[in-house]
Order: sequence, then structure tokens, then C-alpha cells
Amino acid sequence: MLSVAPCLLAIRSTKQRSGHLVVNLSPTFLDFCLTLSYFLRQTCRSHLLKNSPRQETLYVRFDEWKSGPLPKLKRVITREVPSAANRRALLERGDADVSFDLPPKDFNELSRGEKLRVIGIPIENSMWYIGMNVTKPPFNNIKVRQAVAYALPYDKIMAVAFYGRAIKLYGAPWAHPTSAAWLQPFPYSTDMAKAKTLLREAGYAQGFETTLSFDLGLATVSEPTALLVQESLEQLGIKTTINKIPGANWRGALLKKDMPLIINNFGGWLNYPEYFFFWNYHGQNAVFNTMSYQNPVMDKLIDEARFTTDTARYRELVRGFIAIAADEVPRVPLNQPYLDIAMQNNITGYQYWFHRQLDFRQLGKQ
Amino acid sequence: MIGRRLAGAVPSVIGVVVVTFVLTRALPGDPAAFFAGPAASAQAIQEVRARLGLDRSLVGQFIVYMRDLARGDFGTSLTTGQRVLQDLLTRLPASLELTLCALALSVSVALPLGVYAATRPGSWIDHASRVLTTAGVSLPTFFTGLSLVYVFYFLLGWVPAPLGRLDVFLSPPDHITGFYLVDSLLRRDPALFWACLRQLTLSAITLGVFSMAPIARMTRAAMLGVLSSEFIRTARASGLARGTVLYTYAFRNAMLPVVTTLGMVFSFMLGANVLVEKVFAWPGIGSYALEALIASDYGCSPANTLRI
Repeated sequence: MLSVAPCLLAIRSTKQRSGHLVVNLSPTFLDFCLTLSYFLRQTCRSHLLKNSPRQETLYVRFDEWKSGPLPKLKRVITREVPSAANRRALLERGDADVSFDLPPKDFNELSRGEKLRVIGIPIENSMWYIGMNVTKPPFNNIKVRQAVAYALPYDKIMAVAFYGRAIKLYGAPWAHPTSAAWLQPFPYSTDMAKAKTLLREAGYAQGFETTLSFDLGLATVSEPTALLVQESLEQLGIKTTINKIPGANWRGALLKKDMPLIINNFGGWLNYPEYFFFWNYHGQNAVFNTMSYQNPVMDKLIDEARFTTDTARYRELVRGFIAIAADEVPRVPLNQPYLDIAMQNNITGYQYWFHRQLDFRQLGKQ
Repeated sequence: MIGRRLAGAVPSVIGVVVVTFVLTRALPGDPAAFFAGPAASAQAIQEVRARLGLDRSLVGQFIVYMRDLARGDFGTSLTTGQRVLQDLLTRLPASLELTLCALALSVSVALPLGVYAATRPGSWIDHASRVLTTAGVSLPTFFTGLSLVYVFYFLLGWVPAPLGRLDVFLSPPDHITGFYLVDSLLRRDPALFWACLRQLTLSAITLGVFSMAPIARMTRAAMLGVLSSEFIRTARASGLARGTVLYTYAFRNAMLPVVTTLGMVFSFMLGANVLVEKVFAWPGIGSYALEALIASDYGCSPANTLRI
């Protein structure tokens, strides 16, 4: 590595992120370069020296900065490297300092070695889930939804799709939630017998046919998950056709709200349960309420929880709407993913931010 | 005559323009929803759509598009924010440099191989060349590319990191032609020339290996055909040296089909180098076009199709 010190090379993929509550300030730049340059310019600690869209961005420290500590790095170069295999090769050979966006398999393997430091921080208020559109029969039947929730191969998904780089959101022992913490696991685990019974009670003992859709832009984890879910539901007689939707069309497809069964991810920037529920379950039917779920009882709880100042009452309300969500289960939580980052051992000062981008102001290189 | 040829191409160009325009609009996917962002309400999406000019009727959009095209204005890319023409002008030399180098490499290996195989048909050289070229063309370029990166960069460290046209810590030569190799020589900077050449090596080899097969096979077939012709027999009978017979007479006459093949191979490589560009992070036309399609970028997709 050339010793143009202190200088840092960060590499990432070209994937567009979807399903996150990212404030889109301008549609015409890389989302990464955009949020970062916005923050950096706001604080005037650095300026953009060179921007080749979709290739490379070069940041240079503003040395006259007086309003706080200077960033330790004088120059930061961010490069887009489309191939995940090359990103890993660059990191392992030491030609790159930091990388986001490797597949979870790579993070899993790299974290076991000593050559690189892998930091995985659970993304706040973010979950991967299986969503069922309650306006599309047979998912309007609560027993069908509960049957699906019991039929999902949770552990296999965690091992094969996520390689353990996530926190489980299933297998809770309660019948009624005991804590108001969010995110918390739901009381479902893989139980094919219970699933079959519930499906029979719903009147679909022979199963039915449906479509399972997911965003191709996130195919690294979505595709194995989809295959595992398809395989598992097959045992109940539910025949799913997998529908892969390209990233550019995913937003449009979500807006139409006509997909019966989806694999999706939501991450809220504010880490409060009522924030999550307001966007994902409330009757205001935001685009994130992918299940088109409407429940006036839950809405009242959410609305009160957003504004109440009584802590005990707040916890009671939160437990209340979590209980309804777990019982009605229009959305089955799978896990809370990690924000993984791999870096050389001499990089210090990494901080997790709610916007999940890399903030270079705190980074240093020994 | 050239004028008449060009005039004959005009209806094709018009057809391509209309078809690409209609197709990009007909494809599913709403760029307004995509660029309005994940939290956008229906009203925000409508505003973005108006800003992008997509709320006009299809005919209205087409008229605007034709008017801009006539002025040489390909519009603005929705994903990079730059003018599409500028994007194309910066990325085209990158792709051309890669393709031309790959073609030169491919020709320098495939031509001698084909000639040698033709002069010794049935020998082990003949079989070896057949195996080599078939393997090169049947393995997908991303597989060859990634394998070469793994062996020569990761394991051996002989080539620099596959990070694009130039090492991150070096600045590109001043833009004269856009070809880094040419520009660095024109600026009399041999160190920069060498750095650019090293970056080019693996990607050129990957693309070159892929195109060796048609050239080698064509050369071999053409040479075999020519070598069995009467004038070659006459030349041999006249006692001319073997080298003279082979290169001055046989090779020159066999070149015609080979040159035709070269033209086809070049255009094919220019269109198919997107995978190589993806593997080696090469900022070329291929990956630009692909990303435009993936993002339903109405700005650059039609321009890319026109360019091809």
C-alpha cells in the first residue's frame, strides 16, 4: 500500500439500497456519496475533491476547520468495485482499507480469521420479514397466516442465507409479551405439525397456490431465503412461484400493494417501537405497510403510545400492540440483520450511525 | 457512393430510435417511484414524475426526445446526474482501449496459432490450439476473469489490484485522446504508461482469450484452403523458399476472411465486454449501459442502444 498517509481507501458495491428509510436528498448521486457529502459539507470538515459518479469519490480534509477536532485522515478515496469476490481479494491482500457490502458468507469467514477486523452491529429497528398481504385471500384468514408463521424454516434461513450475521427474532417463550423492548422475538418457531393443524382448521388442508416475491437487488440473502421458504411451504401443500423483481421496479411493486407474499426488509432511523409500528402496521397505510394491515384497535394503541408521557402506560401500550402483531401475524419477523464492515487491523474509530453509512470523520489509521 | 450508403442507413437509425424509445417506456418499472425514494408519498412521486417530464403523453415525450437528439443533447442520466453525452465520451475511450488491446493480444496469439495449425494439420499443435481456443470461448468471461484475478493477483501478487483503469493513488494523464496508454506516451510519462499497462493486463487477457477461437479457426481454415490451391503448388514447384510461399503468398491471400472475422469479433467484444468491466471495475460503456437498464434510467438507455 502506498504510504500517502494518512489516507484511506474504502470500497463498496454498486447495489442500490431499498427498504430503508433513507431521506433522498437528490436522486442524481450515489446514495452513499450523497448522504456522506451532505453531512461532511454541513460540518465543513472536508470537501469533495473529485467525484466520478459510480466509480470513485475523493474527499480531502479541510485543514482550517476550527470548530472541533480535525478528522485524522487527510484523504479518503471511495471506490465502487462491482465484484464481491474482488472486494474480498482487495481486502485480504491489504490493497483496500475498509469494505462494506460483502455477502454475509464472506463476513462470517473473515470474522474467524485474524487478518482483518470484522465489526457487525445490529441495525437499529430493522428486520427482515415475510409479509402477507391481508387483503389477498387466503392471507386474510388469521389461521393461514399463523400456519405460515409456524412453517418457516427459521434456523435454516439463519444458517444458509445469513450465515449467522443477524439476531434471531423467533422462538420467544411467551404467550403474551413480558417486555416493551423492540425489536423482540415473536413466539413462533418451526413446527410443521402445528402449521398443518392450523391450515386444516382454516379450511385449506390441501394447500393453495401463491406467489413469493422479493427484491433482486438484495438477492444475496433474499434468494436463498425464498428457496428455503418455498421448500418448507411445499410440505403444507402451499405451492409458491418465486417472482424476482428487479431493484428499479421493487418500489413501484410495493406501492401497488398487490403482492400476496413477500420477503422484505424494513429499517427505521428512529429506534422506537411506536415509530416502527406507525410506519409498518398503522392504518395510515404507508408504503411500508406492505401487508395493507388495518386494525383500528392497534391504531389507537400506537397513536397513544406516540404521545403519552406516562412510562408505565407507554410500556403497557407497547406490549399491547406487540401482542396484537404477534397474534395476528400479518408479518413474520425473521431476524435483525447486522451492519457488517470489514477493515484492516490498523483502522480505528469506526462508529455506527443510524444512516448506516461510513462516517470518515472519526476514522483513523495507525 | 459513401453518401448513398449513409443515406441508406438513415431509415435504420430512425427505426432504432423509435423502437428503443418505446421499449424503455414499455418496460415495467417506474423511474419516478425509484428516484422519489423509499418514503415517498403518491404526491411526491407525481412531482418527481413531472420534473422528469414523464407526465406528458408518450407522443409528447417522443417529440421532446427527438428535439433534444437533433441538437445532440442526449439528456441527463438519472443515475449519475451527468449529461449522457459527457458520460459516453468519458467512458467510450475506456471500453475502446480495453477492446483494442484485447483484440491485439488475441490476434497476436491466434494468427500464428492458426497458421501453425494449418501447416501441420493433425499434429499435436493443431489439437492443442483447438482445445485452447475452445476452452477460451466456452468459459464465461467472468469465470476466466475471476480465476485470473485469484491466481495472479490474490495468490501471486504479480498484477495490481483490479480497481479500474489506474491505481487509486495516481492521477490519469491529461485528456488528449482518452486512451490512457496513448495519452501517457504523448505526455512523455513512461512510469504512468507502465502503470496503465499493468492495470490493463488481466482484463485484456480475459477478453482476448474469449475471442481467440473464431480468429484462430478462421485463420486455420483459410490457410488450409489457400495452401491446397494451384498457385501455391506452382510457387513450391518453382522452388521458392518455404517462408516466402507461406507468408508472402499464402498468408496474404488467406487474410480476407480473417479480416472479415476480425470486424465481427471486434463489434461482438465491444458489446460483450460488460462482464469483464464488472469484474475488473472498468469504467466502460458496457457497465454504464447495464446499470442504466437496471435502474430504468430513461436518460441513458436509448443513447446506449443508439451507440451500439
